Amino acid sequence: MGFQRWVQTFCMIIFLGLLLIASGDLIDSSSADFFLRLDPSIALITAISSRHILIWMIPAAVIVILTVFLGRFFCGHICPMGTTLDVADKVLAVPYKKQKKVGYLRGLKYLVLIVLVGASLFGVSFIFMASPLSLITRFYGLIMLPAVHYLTGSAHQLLFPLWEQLDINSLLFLQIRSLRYSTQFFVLLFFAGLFGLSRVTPRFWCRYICPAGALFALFSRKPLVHRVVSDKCNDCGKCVRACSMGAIDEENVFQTCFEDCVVCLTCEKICPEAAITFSWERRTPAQNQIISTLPTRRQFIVAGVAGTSTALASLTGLNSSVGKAGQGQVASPMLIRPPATLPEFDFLARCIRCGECMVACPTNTLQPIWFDAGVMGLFSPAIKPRRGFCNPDCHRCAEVCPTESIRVISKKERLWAKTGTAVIHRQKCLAWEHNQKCMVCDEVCPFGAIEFTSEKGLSVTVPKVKEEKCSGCGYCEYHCPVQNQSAIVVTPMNALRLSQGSFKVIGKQRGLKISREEKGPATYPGSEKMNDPAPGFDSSTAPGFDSSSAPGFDQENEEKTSAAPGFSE
Amino acid sequence: MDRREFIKTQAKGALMLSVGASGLFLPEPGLASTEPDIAKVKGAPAAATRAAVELLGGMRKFVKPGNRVVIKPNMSFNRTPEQASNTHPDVIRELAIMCKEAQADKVFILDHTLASAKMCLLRSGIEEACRSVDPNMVYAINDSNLYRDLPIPQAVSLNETQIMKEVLKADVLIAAPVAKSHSATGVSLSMKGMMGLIWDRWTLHRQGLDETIVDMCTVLKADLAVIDGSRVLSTNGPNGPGKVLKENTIIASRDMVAADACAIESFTWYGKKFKAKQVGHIREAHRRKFGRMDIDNLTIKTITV
Repeated sequence: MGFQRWVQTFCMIIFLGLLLIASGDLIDSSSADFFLRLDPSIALITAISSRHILIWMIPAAVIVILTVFLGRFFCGHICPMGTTLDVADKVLAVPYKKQKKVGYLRGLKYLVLIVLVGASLFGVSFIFMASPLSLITRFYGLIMLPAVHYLTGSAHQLLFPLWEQLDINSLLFLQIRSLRYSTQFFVLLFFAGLFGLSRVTPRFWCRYICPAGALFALFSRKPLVHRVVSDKCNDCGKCVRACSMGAIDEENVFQTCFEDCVVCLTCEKICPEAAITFSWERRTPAQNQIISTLPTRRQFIVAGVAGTSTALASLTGLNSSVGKAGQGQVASPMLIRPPATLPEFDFLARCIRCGECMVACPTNTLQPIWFDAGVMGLFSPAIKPRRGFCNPDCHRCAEVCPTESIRVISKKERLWAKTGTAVIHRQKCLAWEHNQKCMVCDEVCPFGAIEFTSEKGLSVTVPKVKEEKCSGCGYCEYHCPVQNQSAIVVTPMNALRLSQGSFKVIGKQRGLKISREEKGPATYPGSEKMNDPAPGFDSSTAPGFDSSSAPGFDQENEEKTSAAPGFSE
Repeated sequence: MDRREFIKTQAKGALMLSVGASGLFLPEPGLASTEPDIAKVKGAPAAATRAAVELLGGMRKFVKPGNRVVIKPNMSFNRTPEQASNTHPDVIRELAIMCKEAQADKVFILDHTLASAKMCLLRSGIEEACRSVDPNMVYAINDSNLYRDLPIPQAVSLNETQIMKEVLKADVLIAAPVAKSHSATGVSLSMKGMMGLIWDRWTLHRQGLDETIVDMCTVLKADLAVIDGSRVLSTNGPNGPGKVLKENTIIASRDMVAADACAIESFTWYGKKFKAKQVGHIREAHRRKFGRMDIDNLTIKTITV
């Protein structure tokens, strides 16, 4: 294995390791988004669309500066997408002769970049559709990671009898999370297509589509370290056939297209005459000729217009959240964003849909959405309380977010980052509709936001939501025993979406009383009413207690020695 | 307790009551040659726990050398010990120590938590308290794979449930709940607490808690119930925060129903006194002869340590 493969393997292990760190809760995960911060296309587009210079994108700038000297080394060594495609190519690629000659597509990646830039000028970020790091993180995080969890879980189950024999606690109590995600088939199909393109040419994505590749290419037209061919070359063409990027001119093997060369050093390694080296020697005049793959000015303009018009169409779509006219009244009634998410439009301008937050979410409640927030909101994270609650002590989603589209706030502030308000559907509720003892919503609510009371005609306690105490965490919806559609659901009502300022201060101004320590009432709310019981209604004096005895039982004020039915004295 | 034994104790209780009622003298604890049905001890959590179990004959009566023991505390909530939503860590720790003293092979403290497992283990203080006894004994089990289906032959309504695999393997099951109010079932004590050892609790709510709790307890019958009344969550249970009564009391019995009944009648709930029969699932358990709620007919030994 050559130098490049070692580096690729090493980087891939780090990348996957960071994903695992993000998905576990053992190690601090605040730098789990490191690879995403290396992608210059994310940095550029997000900076334009959000009108913010993102200082935490400095690593991407460093990579770009290095590219001026080293060429597209990132693509050939570090990029997990490139490495993954190399593996796919190993399996799927066809011999050079059978490869389609699609060199005319070389300019496409620049046009992709321009489309994205055009859209971002209007504050619309489509980077999630094309950033290699966003895509590959989503692939490994939302497709591969759950599969790995599933397989380890199954193996664990299969071996459980053995663990029981060995009787080792750490194995007996090993709990493997079962991760589930929506939209995973779209991601899967996308990657199936991407891998399928190996049949056309190797690294099709990197050659023709990748906008990060396009950015690197712009800076690698005359790299300091570059491919040099000595006159030992006998023009056998082996390097042309081996180049995964098709960067060597078929007609003139001395010529290299540095916009596409990813410095993988394969040509140097395989040359039978050892005629190829990578060095900072001065180029010969013949080699100094730049093979440019830049599109024409007309193509650039068309792409820019295409980008801006797509953005305009998105901004004028029904779901658009831009401006004062777009305060989200038409958005999906169940769309709950993670706690301390920026206001919707700013959020969508920043969120790159990498899926890190969903990977990091310990309860698996964060899910990518489809069209709930329009095309602009594709794959963005939303809380699905039926899948899991949003733990008020946890803010891992913000920790791992590479673009701070979820604000990083203090622990105290976190409690006030209200995500919505619970609403009870009484016709589905076990207590309200079925007159059953339940009160699970009250049992699990960390904020004491469920008031329990008595109602005329019902013998059991029934729940009501105290809206000002509700933080929208979804404990109630998650634990509600009613199947499928819960009888208590979190809606986005009064969610706090602040781009700046204190959640606590503003929450208090809005009359919220979010607290985990405030004691509930010392008497049973509604007990006054119950001194006057309605027909068919047992008078009760505390929740869950009956004051009248059951059939066959004596009244409590009778002789204490009276026996229970069936028992002799 | 078989039927014969049951009638004997019943008769004994009646005798003692009639003696007591005659006013000649109060029934002395020493009168009963065997252990009382219920031990009620006032004192600091750990000392009172130990004393209560000793009154019932000591842990060796329950745990034989080499046994596997599961202790079921309340540690389902992200609350501190003072808030009384979870069992006091000292009670759990003392029970674990006593099990070890009785030469139990393995002792586990298990619960299926409602809130985040990590936060529950941390804030309840139970994990920390038990670390010195054995660093690998406290687990929150929130993974369905660690539960196994079990039919309930004596069920009225709940014919099947899923129980923690470790509980099914255990020789001894000890219920160690905190005494607390519950907005649906009045109280949550040793019987209601067993819902922390099963996977699917939703079904119980849908089918009716009073019946299904008893159904569940027929397969999760604790050999020993130790109710932590060191602090009682008198209002706003089971989660709280609510009014906490400092009762400094530990109640122990071989009979879950009797222990629960004694706890109901020993403390006030929402500022009022209640009889055990006013709690649906306790009444149901008594009616089905799963245990006895008529504590006035049972021997209760009360001491202070």
